Amino acid sequence: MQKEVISKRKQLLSCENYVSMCYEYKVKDFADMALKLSISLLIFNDFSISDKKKILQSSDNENYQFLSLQDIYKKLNKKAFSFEDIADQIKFSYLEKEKAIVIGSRKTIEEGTIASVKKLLSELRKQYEIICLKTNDKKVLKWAAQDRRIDYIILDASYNSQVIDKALCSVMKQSNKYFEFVISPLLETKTEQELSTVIRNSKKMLKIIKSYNTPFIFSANPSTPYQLRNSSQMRCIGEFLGIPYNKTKKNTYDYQFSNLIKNVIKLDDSYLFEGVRGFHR
Amino acid sequence: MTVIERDRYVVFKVISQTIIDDISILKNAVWEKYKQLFGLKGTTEAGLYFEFFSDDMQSGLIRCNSRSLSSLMIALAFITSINDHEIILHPLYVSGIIRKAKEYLDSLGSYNHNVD
Repeated sequence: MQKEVISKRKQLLSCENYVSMCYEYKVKDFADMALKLSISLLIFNDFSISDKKKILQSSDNENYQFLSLQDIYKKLNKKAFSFEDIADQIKFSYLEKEKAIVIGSRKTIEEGTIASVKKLLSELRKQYEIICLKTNDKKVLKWAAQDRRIDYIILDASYNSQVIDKALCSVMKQSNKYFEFVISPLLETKTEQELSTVIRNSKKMLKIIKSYNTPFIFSANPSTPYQLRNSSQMRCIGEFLGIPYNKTKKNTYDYQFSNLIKNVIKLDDSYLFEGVRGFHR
Repeated sequence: MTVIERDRYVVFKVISQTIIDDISILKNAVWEKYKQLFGLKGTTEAGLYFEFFSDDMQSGLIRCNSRSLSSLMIALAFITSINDHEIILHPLYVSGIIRKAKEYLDSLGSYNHNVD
């Protein structure tokens, strides 16, 4: 029986793509909770790559072990070449260890004009592993859907569902970009009326996304460790919103993980252009 | 034609800032959330029943109808607080046989309460 409990980690890798820290809780609290829920990948919002290095050192005497994909990638640099090889090696050699938690850094841009987003992107792209955009403006969204520097476009369940339409979905699909569907408004509502509105909006949004087969991921966007949800719980919430449980297998871990690796490869010194790396002699 | 309703047993763990020692609070929270999301009709069809709860391990066993398993999982995922304390009800294991579910619960620790 004990063996079954341990081997669960191998089957249920979970990810939280959008951890928003508040002052009351520290990284340690999130890490402890992530271990309890079998979450092996935590991406912290507003933590730059340099901030991440400080956090990595803090896990030395703890019951969890923080890992950085950049460090792992440097170790694997000459052993694995294709993207699939790198992803597999990281997954099987590092992530399936009992206490390993990979941490990543991300920035959410909340701007209303294309010019201001462009300006921020030029400053921020190399400081963070993941860049996301949160806006209500349709023009900005359509522009962002084609920009390679932006990884995710955030869909908040409290938004009006008219923000997304067929055109945006098809551009997103063509440029292989993901919507990030945030479920925290569903969990934070105070009244039944509010909950009903949020559920209605979420269902509408996911119906449009589903009908155009646009890629998307789930995030819980927790501000406290108790708002973290593991992969299967997020898929259950997705099922409630109209996406079948069996169709969201990759939306809670695999897509996030592969996007993070892609960006780590791009940010590495040896990266020249897609598929080509240069090594110093 | 006879229609057999099959049961599912869900082993869950309470992760909270405070220790839950009164099972009725937990039961109320699950029932209320289930009713809020699926209505009275859904709740009556679910056949929810709290089999065991251990104060020491903060884990327990809920029985439900096999058709309502996904709804129960959804309700558990939606519960965020009880009496203004933040909480996670984390489902660990699902079985159709109560003996197996109890064995799993045993492996986590010992259960000592029989509620309901």
